[in-house]
Amino acid sequence: MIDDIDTLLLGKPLVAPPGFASRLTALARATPQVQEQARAIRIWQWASLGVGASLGALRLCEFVFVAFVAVGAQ
Amino acid sequence: MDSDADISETAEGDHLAFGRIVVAHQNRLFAYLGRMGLDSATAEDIAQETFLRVWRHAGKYNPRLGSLTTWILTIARNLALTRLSRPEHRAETSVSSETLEIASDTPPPDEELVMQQRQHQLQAALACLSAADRSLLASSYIDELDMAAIARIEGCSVGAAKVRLYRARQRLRQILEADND
Repeated sequence: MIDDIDTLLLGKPLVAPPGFASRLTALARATPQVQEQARAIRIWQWASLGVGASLGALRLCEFVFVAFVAVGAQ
Repeated sequence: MDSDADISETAEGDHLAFGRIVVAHQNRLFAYLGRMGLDSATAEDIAQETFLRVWRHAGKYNPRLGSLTTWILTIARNLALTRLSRPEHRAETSVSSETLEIASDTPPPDEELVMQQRQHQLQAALACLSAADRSLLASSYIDELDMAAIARIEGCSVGAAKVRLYRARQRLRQILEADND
């Protein structure tokens, strides 16, 4: 029976009708493509960026302050 | 690979590259849809929509996620399953005999009659399987696809695809044997 199934399913398969590819190419000419747009940045992503920037600025201020105190101490 | 170059050019709006993709994949796609038990008109409709989606979304294709064949067949599978889930299609249990024909050099009338009868039995048996199992069975006959690619198309693990394929074949065999008794 397995052979039967294989024989039947592998029998002459459906094929594309003549001119299918050229018809589709003509259809494609009239069909606009979807342009992939850059995804907009979400609110939580803006918030993360803000927190990161603030922490970075704080770290920089700390470095400047420590450097200033060190120079003063000398 | 050539098909990768063609899909890149298609994404840039090259109609000729798109035409080459259609020519390279059309018969494989029609064979797959036919083995799912779809008649030629429905198969043509689905194949057309599949290729137009490839055209429209060519920029979304990612070769890291699978071959172009896998991507095209995944689109076709989803469209076919949607079509088969419609009530008017579900009610249809017998499928046109033109979907599968035995390739032979004009067998004698008796032999031809037996083959036609077997074809009808197979179509009826296929209609008893779920659309997803029909898709799995059909994709297993595509030479180019290994089990990993088939599993990707079906959206399951390789192990699950093997088990489902085994069960689908068993069920098909049982239905055909019951018909013969």
